Amino acid sequence: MEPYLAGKYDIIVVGGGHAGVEAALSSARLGLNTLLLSLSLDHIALMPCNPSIGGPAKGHVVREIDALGGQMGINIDATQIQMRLLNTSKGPAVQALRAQADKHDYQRQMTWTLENQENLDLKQAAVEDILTEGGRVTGVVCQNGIMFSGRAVILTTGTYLKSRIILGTLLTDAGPNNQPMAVKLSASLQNLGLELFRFKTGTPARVDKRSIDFSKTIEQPGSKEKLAFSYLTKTFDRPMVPCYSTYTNPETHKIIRDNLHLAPKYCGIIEGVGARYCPSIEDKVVRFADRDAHLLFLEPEGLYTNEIYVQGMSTGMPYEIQEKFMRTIAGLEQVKIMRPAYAIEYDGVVPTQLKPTLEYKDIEGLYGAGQINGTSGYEEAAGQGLMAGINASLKLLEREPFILKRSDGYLGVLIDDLVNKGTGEPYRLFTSRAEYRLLLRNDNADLRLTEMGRKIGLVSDARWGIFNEKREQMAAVKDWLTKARFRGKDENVAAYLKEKQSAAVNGSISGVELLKRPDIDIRDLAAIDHKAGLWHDEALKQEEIEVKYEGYLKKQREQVRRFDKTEGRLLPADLDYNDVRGLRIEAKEKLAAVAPYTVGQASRISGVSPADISVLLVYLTEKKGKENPHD
Amino acid sequence: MDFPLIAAIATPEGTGGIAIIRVSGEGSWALIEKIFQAKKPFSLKTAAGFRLHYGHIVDGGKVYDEVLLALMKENQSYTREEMAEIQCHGGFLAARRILELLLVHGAQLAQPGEFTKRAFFNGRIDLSQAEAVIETIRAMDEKDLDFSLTRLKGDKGRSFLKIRDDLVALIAETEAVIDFPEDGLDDTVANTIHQRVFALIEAMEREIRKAEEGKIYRQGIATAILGKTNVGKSSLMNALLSEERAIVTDIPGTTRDVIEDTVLLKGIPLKIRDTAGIRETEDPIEKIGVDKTREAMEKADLILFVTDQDDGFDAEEREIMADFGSKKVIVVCNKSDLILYDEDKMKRAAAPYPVVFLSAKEKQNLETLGETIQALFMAGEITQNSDEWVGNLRHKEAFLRAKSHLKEVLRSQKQHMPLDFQVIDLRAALETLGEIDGVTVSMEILDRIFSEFCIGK
Repeated sequence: MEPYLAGKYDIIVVGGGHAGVEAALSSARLGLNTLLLSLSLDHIALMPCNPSIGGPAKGHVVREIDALGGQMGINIDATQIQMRLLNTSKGPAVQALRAQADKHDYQRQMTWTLENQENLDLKQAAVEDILTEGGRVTGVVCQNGIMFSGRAVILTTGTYLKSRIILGTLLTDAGPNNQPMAVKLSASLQNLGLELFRFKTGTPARVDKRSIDFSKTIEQPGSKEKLAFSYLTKTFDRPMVPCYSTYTNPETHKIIRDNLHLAPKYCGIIEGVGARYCPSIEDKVVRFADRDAHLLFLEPEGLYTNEIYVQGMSTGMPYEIQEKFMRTIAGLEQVKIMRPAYAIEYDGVVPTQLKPTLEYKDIEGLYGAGQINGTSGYEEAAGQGLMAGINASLKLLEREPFILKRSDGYLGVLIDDLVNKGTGEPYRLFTSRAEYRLLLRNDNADLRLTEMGRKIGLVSDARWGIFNEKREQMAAVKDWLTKARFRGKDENVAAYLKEKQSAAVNGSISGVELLKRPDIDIRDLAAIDHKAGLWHDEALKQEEIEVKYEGYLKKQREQVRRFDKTEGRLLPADLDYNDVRGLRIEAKEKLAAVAPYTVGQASRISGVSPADISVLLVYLTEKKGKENPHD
Repeated sequence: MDFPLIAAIATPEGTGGIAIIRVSGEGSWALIEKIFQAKKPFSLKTAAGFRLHYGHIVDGGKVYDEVLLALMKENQSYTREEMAEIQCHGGFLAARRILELLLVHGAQLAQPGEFTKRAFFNGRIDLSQAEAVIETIRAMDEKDLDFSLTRLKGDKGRSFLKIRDDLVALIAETEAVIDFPEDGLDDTVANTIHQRVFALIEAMEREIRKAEEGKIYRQGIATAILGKTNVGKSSLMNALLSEERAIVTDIPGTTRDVIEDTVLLKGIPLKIRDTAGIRETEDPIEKIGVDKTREAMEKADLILFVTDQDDGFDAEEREIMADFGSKKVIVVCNKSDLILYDEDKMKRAAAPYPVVFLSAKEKQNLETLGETIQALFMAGEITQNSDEWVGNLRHKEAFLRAKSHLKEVLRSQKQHMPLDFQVIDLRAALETLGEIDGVTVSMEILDRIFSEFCIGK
């Protein structure tokens, strides 16, 4: 029986996790008629693992999403129950925000935002088949005998593709938290010619707050400063709830070691590839056998729940072993498990089949974002969702694609890595993956991206206003710093320098010169010069960074300038690499497989050497010369 | 196109008297300005292209060679970039030293064929030459790879890998602390950076010294001038020292007393030993004693045996010559302005040693002496190994640049810059080392972090 055509849309988003919601919101906001399909409308924007957002690189991504007009930053600011600024002493570029979320509130507010978004429909249905016609996507068919037509489809299936939960030796075909999973979609994708992979991830136990003796743990409070992910957030009245830390001990490790034969990884049940940065506790005990303590954090899952997330305790061990070893830990002697830890395996689609727009190269109109592309993390997913939503919309609107370079932001690094290099394990962003991280800071995400977001059409007038005010203030601060003179004889100046153990000034010195000294703070200088309160801290901070680290920033900008040059050299879409004389066979194959857009992208494909790139340049020069003999 | 500044010796290596060093890229002239002292000072800013300038290559107060400098503007040069060519007179060893100086001041060593490649990309040469350019690129790629592979075997390879490994470990520890601030990692790494970077710099300096060429190039040829009384040893010594092209040089890694009496003859550094002893040889040879002669002889790489006999050697001379053993010896028939030598007879008598006829006093034919020394020491030794020399230089250059990045790390520390700013230059140093073994950094740091640190939820 032919399925019932239940609706026609411009864009269909398959999945309502962190990637799905950003994809759906961005396309709806750009005026495209959008449908979001989820296996369960109760689980929109679910945080199935840790109740926190941010951290190094991940926090940067949230700021970038916000600067472009996405939702994640706004939503976490409204639902956070603790926020910290990490790495404060390690340099401005690696400072990162991390928030604990009330995960229920996070979901509720995000769902509410989606439900009230113009041009967006939410429907509960399990997608089983992707429809195509002549290599172009045309719609989706659902389990309940209905279908939707769509001009573009964005897959944001998370960990739900043919997923399987592993608890000890117990296997269950289910999604996170034993939810329904997508049974047939994997096969449909394979029928479209897409190559799949299988990854594994895991989540630790949730335990009852009332069963923990917090007096034996260490309290981890949030920062008292006014912190926010979103540039729009101007109120700071959220409740603050602490986390707690404690340690495993030799007794814990002994129980784990004695029961290793019951761990899925060590008894050979697991098929999927796990991430090295997310080892289970049994992995930690085996691999770091010389350590007799591992740190763990107890994180509240929300204001109105007693569930506590036990960070650092991810395991695939059976229930009874989990309980046994946890009860050896200080503070957890009487612990009651509410939900046990489990591992989960799922299918994804090999990301090197994607263009930098996140559209599949061989299936026009089909996009992938989030864990389906091999990443892990809410933030990485949300960022890709936003980029896929934007690009699917721009394509339908017949506008230029939106591709971020590695020098533009962590989102650029993330997508460039995925589509060029692929990933052999769940991919997580780290600041060390960014070559130009001095420029890709938490504090300047708006300066890097908001103008682009405005051009796309996602930056509201309110956001644009705030952004322009910041830029104007920065100009004013810069002007002040250059012109202001601080005189050594001025007693305020002298007292301040003495306090900071900084050399006294003979005659006078400019603001810029003075600020270059270690330990001198721009806010103090503003106060001394009677300018306190004139400018926002954000504007002051920007100029301070520019002055204090001028040499380093200049060097990095020069690197970016060189990088942008090769990045700007486009490769013809129809280039047949077999025609290029002098390319090694391996390089020909790799280049043909990835079909890079630019010379820069080509140079990052593994298996393509610098000499291959030179040869390619010779070819391009020759070709151009022949086509334009008078050029 | 945006190419870095490059330099290379353009003339074939060997016995030619003049060598040309080419510099190409934006900033070529400014680079030259750092080491060129014109006889008639002129401003590079307003200098015209296609002119020759006479002067000296000078660095740190030391004169390297007397040169002619040709400057070419972008639209005049082969590569279509700003270029400079230095014609140096000191032969190819002098050319090598000048090239190294350029590298120290910021140029990169050009790959073979790189000037041609640039000329091609910048539209200077015909498209029909694309094939040749591709061949050059492929050939140099293979050669480089071969060289890296052979070089990284054995001791040199081991010490290189040790340096690399220490650097990777340091970066991994630092990055782990940055990327995992809440994983309870030991963050005392920050306190160890200074000491570890210092140790790395020292290790790199050792590699740089190793990469510098063999003893001859580094220290000069230990030369003893021997002969009977009054044959003109002192005049030869003085002639060599005052010879116009003889330039006192400072070669790193040698002791001061050696530096002082090193002279360049046809680009070959001669370290003339025991000069004082020779100068005092006004007295008959028996007074000096056989021991002293022996001592001078034993330490020497090269013996210049001076004679003024016009028909073979006398008994006394033959006695000295009996002790030469396998030493390299040149028989110098001095006073050729006064004595009419029977050249064939002398050559037969001196065999297997080569003979040079000259007049030290009149400074006639000193050139020939230089050429003979060159033939004796360089043939089959350095000239045939120019690939290896270039490879060495490439490595040395990579180490030099890596070292300067590490010095930046120390500088950042001194200025109390946060950890992130120190990592930047640590990574730059590692990337530079990648030019030696062809390994790119990319995943390595993360691999190391995951294998050595317990990280994760």
